[in-house]
Amino acid sequence: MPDIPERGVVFWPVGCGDSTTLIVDDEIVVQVDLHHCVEAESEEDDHAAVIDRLIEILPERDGKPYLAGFGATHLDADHIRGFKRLLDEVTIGDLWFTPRILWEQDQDELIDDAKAFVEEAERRIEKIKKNSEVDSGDRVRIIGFMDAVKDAYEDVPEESVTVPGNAFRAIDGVDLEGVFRAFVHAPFKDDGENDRNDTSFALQVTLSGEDGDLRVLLLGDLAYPTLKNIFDRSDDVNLEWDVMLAVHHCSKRAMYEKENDADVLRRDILDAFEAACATGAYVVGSATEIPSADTPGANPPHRKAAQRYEEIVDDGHFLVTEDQAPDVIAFTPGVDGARLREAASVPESSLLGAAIASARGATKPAGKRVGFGAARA
Amino acid sequence: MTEGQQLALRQLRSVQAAQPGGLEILSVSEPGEGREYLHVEISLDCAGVDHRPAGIRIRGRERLLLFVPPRFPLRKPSVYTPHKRWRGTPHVQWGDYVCLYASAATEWHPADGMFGLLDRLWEWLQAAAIGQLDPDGVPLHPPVAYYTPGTPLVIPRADTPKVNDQPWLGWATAMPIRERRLDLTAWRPMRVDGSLQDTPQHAAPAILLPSRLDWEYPDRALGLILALIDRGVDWGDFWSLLEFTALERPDEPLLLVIGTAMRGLAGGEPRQHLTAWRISADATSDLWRSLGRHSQRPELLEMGEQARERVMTWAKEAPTEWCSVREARSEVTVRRDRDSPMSWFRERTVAIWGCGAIGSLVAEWVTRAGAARVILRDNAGVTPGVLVRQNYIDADLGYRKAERLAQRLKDIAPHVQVEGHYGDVLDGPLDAGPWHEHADLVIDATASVTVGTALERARIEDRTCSIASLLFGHTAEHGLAVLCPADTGGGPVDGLRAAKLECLSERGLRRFADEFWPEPPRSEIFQPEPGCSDPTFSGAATETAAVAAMLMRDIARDLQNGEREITVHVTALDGADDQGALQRRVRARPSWDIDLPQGLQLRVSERALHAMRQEVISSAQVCGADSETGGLLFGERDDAAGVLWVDEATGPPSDSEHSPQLFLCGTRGVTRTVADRRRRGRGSLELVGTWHTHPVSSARPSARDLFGMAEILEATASPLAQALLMIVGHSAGTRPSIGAYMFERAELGTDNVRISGGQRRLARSVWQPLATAKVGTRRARPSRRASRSS
Repeated sequence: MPDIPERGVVFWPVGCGDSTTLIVDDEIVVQVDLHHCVEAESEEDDHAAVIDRLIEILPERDGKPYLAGFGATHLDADHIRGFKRLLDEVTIGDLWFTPRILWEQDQDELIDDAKAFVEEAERRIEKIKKNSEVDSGDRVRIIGFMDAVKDAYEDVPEESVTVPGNAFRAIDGVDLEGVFRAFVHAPFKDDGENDRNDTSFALQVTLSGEDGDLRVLLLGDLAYPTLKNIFDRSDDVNLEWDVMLAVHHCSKRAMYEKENDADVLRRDILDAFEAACATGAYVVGSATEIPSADTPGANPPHRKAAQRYEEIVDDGHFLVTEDQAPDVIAFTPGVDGARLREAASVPESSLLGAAIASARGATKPAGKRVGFGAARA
Repeated sequence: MTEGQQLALRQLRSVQAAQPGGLEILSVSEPGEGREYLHVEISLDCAGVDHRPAGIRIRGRERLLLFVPPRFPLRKPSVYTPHKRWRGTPHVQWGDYVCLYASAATEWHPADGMFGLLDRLWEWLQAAAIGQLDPDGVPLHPPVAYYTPGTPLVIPRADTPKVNDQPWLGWATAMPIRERRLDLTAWRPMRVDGSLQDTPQHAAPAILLPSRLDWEYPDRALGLILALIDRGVDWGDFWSLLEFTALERPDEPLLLVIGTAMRGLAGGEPRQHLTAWRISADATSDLWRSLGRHSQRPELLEMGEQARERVMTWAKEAPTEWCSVREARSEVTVRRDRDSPMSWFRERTVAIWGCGAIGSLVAEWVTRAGAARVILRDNAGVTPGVLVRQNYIDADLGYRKAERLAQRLKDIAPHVQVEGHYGDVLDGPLDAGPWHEHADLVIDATASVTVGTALERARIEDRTCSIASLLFGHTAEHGLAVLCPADTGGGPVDGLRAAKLECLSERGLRRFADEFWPEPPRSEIFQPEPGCSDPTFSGAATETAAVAAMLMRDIARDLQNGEREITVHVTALDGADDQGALQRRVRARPSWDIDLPQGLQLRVSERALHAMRQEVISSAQVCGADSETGGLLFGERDDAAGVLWVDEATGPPSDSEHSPQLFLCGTRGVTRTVADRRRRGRGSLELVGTWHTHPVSSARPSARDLFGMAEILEATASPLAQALLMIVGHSAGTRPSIGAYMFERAELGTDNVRISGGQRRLARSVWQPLATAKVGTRRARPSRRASRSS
């Protein structure tokens, strides 16, 4: 297993879901999304029991593991599973969420962990209402803006709300200027009532080390239109990435749209990804194994999307968490951007040569007897 | 879409279906308004491709654009990248065009279609990723400087000077060859031992770098200048070089030659890759004017500074205008005829006598083969009839062949020194001398017996040059060539005689004897033009070119092999006669010669010596070693050529007598023997004299011998005018000597009888090997009957 870096980003092998850990230093660790599966707690399962693994690396405060921040890009199960246990076992200094979670608290389809998150968010907001100054464990970071619920968090101090086009540098009340920066790309004000995936928050997180910066693009489960919007609006410097978490567990909806039942490639978003991609950058798919071919209606990950990402980064720089399980995929800031903590890529051989040979055909005779003739009863 | 484009798409789709992910078709754009190519965007799985630092960064998948032409698969598709990431990589042009085929004509296989293209593309990607698109030992792909239309064509011919670790600044001589064509024929450094050199005539400033430039050269003047400065070229020297050169050629466009160490074989010592940048006449004008800034005179100073400002503006704004450069330097090119025997002609001087059907072709071939100097001699003009097969054009009609051919050769190779001389070679080099005009090879293509004879004589005095003589048969379907290498014995007549005798004696070559020495002589004469035109052979350009080419190749091969003896080649085209095509080398046996008085040279064939030696051994066995023996000599005398050939020797007629004191040459069967030789030799095996031995005494003729010769010359009904007497002196020893003496019938009976002749001791190598020769048994031996002392 690669070392957990002193500063960097860790992607856990959690199947098709997101669990990303940002490590600023030995005191400041932030978890963005959580997909802790109970099955993973079994030794026979290669997936990471994230909460257990996280607790191992977290600092302690007052005898309890301390997580400086927890962010939920949105509240779909594959992003929040296990939160209830996490909240019980770990002190969470700062809670990051979008206004949308305050809006959909009544909706039934949320899993218990999501509901627990909503409750916790509301508890903190309530506490902030009562006390203008709150301590670690009660802080929030509201990402984005939503008219429909603006009253719900009107008492949250301004510095704890970050809308798209702005960056924040503090985690759990600690100013990390020069070390940490999170630029907010989404959700946009008008997307608040969209399908939940489309309301994910999207961040460019910069972790600065002695050798250089590591810029991580976390785009949640957004789909093409919002992504396009982000890349159209934001400045290049806020879009550049050394590591990008493949959108929506490597879904083709990041770059394909349905038109007359056919997937139509949106080249512009790939060109935008590529333009913002640093030399030697990586794309990480937090997903199960990429299928050899896509079947209609299948959930992510999609082969098509994986292939598009492979066209953007160097050979071996598209990684899938499942392929590395039980190891994590971790990066630290390096001179040229992302430095993979360990050679995590699995050498593959190209399929092209075999495809050409197979299509061209061979001249060998059939390997078994073949019968012909008019069949008679 | 054309059928071909549909096929291309089907093939691509079959690859896509064969192995999901290997190849993915991302988009297809069919031909449409104003576009006839099918565009297919594909994505290739490149996972696991080996990478090395020298290679390009290949991603896990690469997108590529295939442009499929309407005539696919007869025309190959082009491959582009949708990005410019690989700009600057060898074999990527314009930043996005992937150059897959060095020679599409041989490397593109239509039958393999898109499969072959994808295979090639895959190989290319793998090689590119490890920086091995130019593997060690193969020629480097040169960098690219995109040609600007309207600029001159530049041909570098002279190898560049050695460039050490500092840039070399100087001049190339840019010789104007014709309109918009300059050849770089020499190099001169700007400084020698620190002192500035004079600008040579036709100077083009030249900068040769010890290092590389990017693979695609800058497209702006300033970019290029800065690139040069960055690689160690001194700013001041750079401008001085341009300004001083401009001063010599004010107001003309200037050619700046730039060399970078980017040529040659990968892995080997890099050679200079040359490019030529044309600087406009306006800029040149400002360049020399800007020298005024160094003046003390205010008006010149001001003019110079203004000009300098304009130069700087030009440098910032002007696009680089690259000339088309086509290499001819030996250090970076490999001649196409490298492995051909014709490469012997490279840098040689060749004189060609006769510029007709053979000579006009041969002259062109040796010129193309790289001869340094070609001397043409001919005494005729171009007539309409010869255009059928000679190397002339309608515009040459009425002009002298030698002069028109010389012009043609200069058009082919301007740097070859060509001389065209009108006139008869008998009045030219064969009269004034030296006959070979210091050539390495004289090619006699005159088909003139007189010229051949004169050459034979001239060569006796001076053998420093090789001679090749070429002949056609009467329909140009048979050919014969004789090569007489320098410093060897005979000349072309000698070779022709040898060829004739061999052709007559070997059944398989008899066809050539019948063609070139028919008996009776051919009575039909082919006179193509009415009136008194020279008879010639019939035959088209194809026959003449085919036969001449085969003969020339044979000659070139012999020269290349360093042949030391006369060689003869014969060739017959299929259908020439009823025996099929043949190309053969005919043995021309070496001869052994003695110089006789009056400029006559005796050439005794090894065959004749062999026969004499056999007789000596045989006689010794039968009659005793001390008994004399002898016989008759057959050959040919050519006073014009100055040669007496002895080709065959016989033993004694059966009625001869042998004793230690006397050899009495009999007469029995002699008439028949002479007639037989005459028939066999078709005039080349005539009775020319006798021979006998002096077993224990010298090869000088005795009084008895003189008396015997008088008898030979006078006592017959149709006596010889001259007779040769050959005496093998000390024939009982291991190294006898041979004396040869000519007797003139006209001198007999006068007081002026001369015993003129010469002696030469036989080399052990000539005589001794015969000692082991098998001696046949003879059924009859002459009686021992000695009556007169010798």
